[in-house]
Amino acid sequence: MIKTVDAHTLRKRLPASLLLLLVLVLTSCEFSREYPGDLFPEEDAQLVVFGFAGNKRSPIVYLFPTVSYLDTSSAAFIEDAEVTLWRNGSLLQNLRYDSDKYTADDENPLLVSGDTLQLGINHLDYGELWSDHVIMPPTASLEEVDWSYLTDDSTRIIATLLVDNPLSVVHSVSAILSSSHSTESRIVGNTAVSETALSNGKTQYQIDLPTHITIIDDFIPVDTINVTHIEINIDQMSREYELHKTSFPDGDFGGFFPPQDTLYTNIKGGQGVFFVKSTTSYLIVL
Amino acid sequence: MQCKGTLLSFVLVLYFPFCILSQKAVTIRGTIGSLDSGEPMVGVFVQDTMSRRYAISDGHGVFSLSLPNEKACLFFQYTGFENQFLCDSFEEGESLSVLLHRAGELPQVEVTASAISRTMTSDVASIPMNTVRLLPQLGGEADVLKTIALMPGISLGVEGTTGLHIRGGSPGQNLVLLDEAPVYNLSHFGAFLSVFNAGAVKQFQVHKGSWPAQYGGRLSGLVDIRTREGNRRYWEGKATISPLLASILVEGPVSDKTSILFSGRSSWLGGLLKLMSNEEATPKYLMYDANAKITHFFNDRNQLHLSYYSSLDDSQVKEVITGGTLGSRERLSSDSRAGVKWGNQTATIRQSSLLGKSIVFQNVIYYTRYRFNSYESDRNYFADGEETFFATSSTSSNRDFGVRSLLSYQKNSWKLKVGGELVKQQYSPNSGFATDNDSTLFVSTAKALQQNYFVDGEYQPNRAWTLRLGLRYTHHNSGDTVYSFLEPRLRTNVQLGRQWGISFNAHYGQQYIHLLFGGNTGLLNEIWLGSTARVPPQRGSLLAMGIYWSSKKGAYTVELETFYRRMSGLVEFQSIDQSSEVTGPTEWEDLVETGGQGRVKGLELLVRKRSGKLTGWLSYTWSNSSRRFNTINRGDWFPFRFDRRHDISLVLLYPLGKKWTCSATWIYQTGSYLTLPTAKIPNTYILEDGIFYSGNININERRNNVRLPAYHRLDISVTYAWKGRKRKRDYRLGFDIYNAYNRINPYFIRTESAAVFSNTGEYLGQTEPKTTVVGLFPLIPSVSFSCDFNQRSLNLRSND
Repeated sequence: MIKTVDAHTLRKRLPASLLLLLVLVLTSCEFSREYPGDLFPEEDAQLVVFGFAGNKRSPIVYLFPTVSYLDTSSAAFIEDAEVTLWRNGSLLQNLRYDSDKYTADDENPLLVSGDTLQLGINHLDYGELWSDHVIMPPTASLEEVDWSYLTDDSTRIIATLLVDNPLSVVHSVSAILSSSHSTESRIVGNTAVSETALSNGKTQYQIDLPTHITIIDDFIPVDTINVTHIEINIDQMSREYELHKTSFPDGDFGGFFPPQDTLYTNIKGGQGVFFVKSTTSYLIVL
Repeated sequence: MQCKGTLLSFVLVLYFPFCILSQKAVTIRGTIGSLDSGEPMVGVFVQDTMSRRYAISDGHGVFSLSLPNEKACLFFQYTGFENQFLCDSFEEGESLSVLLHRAGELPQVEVTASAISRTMTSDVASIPMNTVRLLPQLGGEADVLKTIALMPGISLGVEGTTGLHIRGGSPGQNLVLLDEAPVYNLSHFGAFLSVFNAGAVKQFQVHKGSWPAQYGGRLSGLVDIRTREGNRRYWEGKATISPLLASILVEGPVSDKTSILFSGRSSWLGGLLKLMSNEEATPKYLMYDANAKITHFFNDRNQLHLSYYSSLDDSQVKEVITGGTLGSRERLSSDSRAGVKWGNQTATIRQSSLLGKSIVFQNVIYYTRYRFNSYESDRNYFADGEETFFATSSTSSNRDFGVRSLLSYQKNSWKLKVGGELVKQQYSPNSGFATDNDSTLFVSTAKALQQNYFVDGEYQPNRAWTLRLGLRYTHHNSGDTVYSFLEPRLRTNVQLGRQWGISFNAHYGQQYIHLLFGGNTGLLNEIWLGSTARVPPQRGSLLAMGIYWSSKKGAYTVELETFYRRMSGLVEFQSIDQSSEVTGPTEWEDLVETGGQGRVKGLELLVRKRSGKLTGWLSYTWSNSSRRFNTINRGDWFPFRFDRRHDISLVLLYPLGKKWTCSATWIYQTGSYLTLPTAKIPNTYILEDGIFYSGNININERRNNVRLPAYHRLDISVTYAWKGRKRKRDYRLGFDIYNAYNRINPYFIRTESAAVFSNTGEYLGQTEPKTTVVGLFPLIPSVSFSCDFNQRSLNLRSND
């Protein structure tokens, strides 16, 4: 059925219809505008340091400046700084720039538990910066290691480690898998580590490890490595890295708790963190 | 006005000879009510025009006035009612009963309670309810809390919220009383509308400075809301429809001595959401509030009031999915529900008796409860016949039960109030559970017992000077600790000639309750917590000085007041790692920063035009409010988030003929503060020795370091009121436009950037981010309609 509307009725309905349309248009569009000026505060760039030293490897230090909040570019690593590592108040090493980072030329000096280390940086634009003193933590006391193939599955093994009184929070257990003991063919494997605190102060770790690793390149399997050597590392880190990591603010401005407004750093006059770690290693030959 | 002035002069001239013949001081008291409804009237200005001494009727419509002579000419004034004179010779302790006529059929558009302005107490803000109903409102729904924010020194935090900030304080520092019972949560609709039904409200006052000593327990403001008693003469009612709500109010006499009032509001939104639901998703929303009040007058000397209030917001989304798989299992259906609900309940019994000639004895018993609950559940039915269920729930609540007794005595120039209060409080900050593991965020359900004793003395030695001194002793026992304090209060007004006056206020108080907001983005989840040994009470002091000027005929008034306040013991949620979950039982004290300090200084200006066709006011506040916590902002002072340096409100009302009234409000506020990153550690993608340092970390050096753009808005309202045929009904049609020039005021901000790819699909990076200001309410037109019906008009019709 077609209903006809006369002109008089239409005139009466038109204002109400237009009003309804206006309301619909206004409420259906998002109510926003671009902020014309610079809302985010701009401050001078600071030097960011990410560096660590350890008893098992050369020190590594990355240097790059902070950027404004709206800058989406990646870190611009700085290569013209003078970086020095100090132990117990004496110069230990001059670090040189190599592929984005500063590291040591010479052999790794033996760092021992209780050593006090400090990082010094000198740069034309950012001046002289020093890290706080960080203290080399003790190495983990590995008391017992046992391993066996997983029942009914020769492609996986279970390694059990017993560590006496590990540092709470700042320790990690990882494994390096390789087909030989050469560093060139090392692969940091995905390992599942379970941790059980025992009543005598000891901690037991169980690590589930594969005996074969498939190498994937561009989503295509290209090779399979038969694992012959497994290096298990127990790192005990100084607290600075954990303090820095747990002070990261939420990227969003919402959340139940207010955003952190103090990002931990132990670099005076800059940002970032310098920390040390003691590593205990154990090699399993399959 | 001219006619009234001449009449007053005539009366005074005739009366003058009587005055000089007698010089005996007497104290009189009386009750003031509406001739129309018989309801007691609160806040009526009563003045002896000879001595210029004055009094204001209290919450029971009772006033008491000391006169230097037994001959006096009393002048009664209240907005919306005709002025009344009573010239006579009075005896010591004489009791009067005064009934005032309503002024005409259209509501008057006088902009503030004249009683308040005449007493030069600019630390008390009030707006008559008939003015509140004429001002433009969001969605056409009159809102007392949003309207009171048009007065100096009072502001709303963010658009769309009802949290009041009084003189730089936070919403948790206000004591909001509904018929003497504290109300903890003030928000409907996720904070867009206050929980108080303007139709049921008789009067409200906001004390910004020195409170009466009978009230305490908060640092900033006292919002005292009284509901109507109900018509004692005939039955009447009102039905209102607006885009947001429908409401009804019915009141009338049950007997000669008893009146009853009921009002209720509920939202349309639930019905609209039901229409939008489909087979898979069903949104549900229920919102209501209800007031009920019974008033019984045993005789002229004894009254009893029973009032009850309840409010609820309940929203839920139910999702039903049929078929599909969950993991590797074939699922027949799933039923998921998520919801949030919150509400208040209050109940009050008030009794007042006149003992002898000049002693009033009042007792109040009250109960209040606020509860917030959020929940989520998920039930799955599988093809193999198994069923799984997962649910989480989180609830916070607090309740008060209190008894207060008050004895008022007046003799000559002295008024004295003495009393005591016992309050039992219980807080359950936030207890939650999950079906798969027992988890509780806060476990401390705290109880406290508070004893308060107070004395309030007012001395009015002559017509020019009033001094009020109050002292309140509080004793708070929270189980693990006891706090006891003395809280002194002082208020004095001095009138300098007929046009000028000055005032001084001092107030010191404690607050044993802390309000924490869960979440930065909204004000939904309010958690109230009592003081404990680890979290001591907040303390605050305030000093205020004001100067007042009135034109000769009182058409224009100007009030200027400056204040300074300090606070200590403030509490805020700690900043914690957002990604880490709080697991296991945690004492709430572990999650808050304590020992915060606050300081606020400000200047308030109020210019009013109180007579003539065009009436209104201009209010301006300059203020500077800041906070300091040892662990926030490196221990430095930082601006309070809602520190508004300049806050301007312009309110204009203009009647167009007998049926039309138009009004407009314009608001300007300096933008509020926000914490934004000052810089960023860029993306690094560093991976060394199994340690991945990705970068992209914001550096928030300073709390509240950025001020958002200013907030301003124009609202317009036009009201058309008329009588129905043969006077059966009174109708009112309101047209409101909220945000008339469609200003996009900042509700929140966001930054956006898009990924850029080459023609071959290679990722090239991000575009330059843009900052976008997102507003909440655009231009919103609304139409509301109300109908008043009453027996009186039916009677008039039959008389016709």
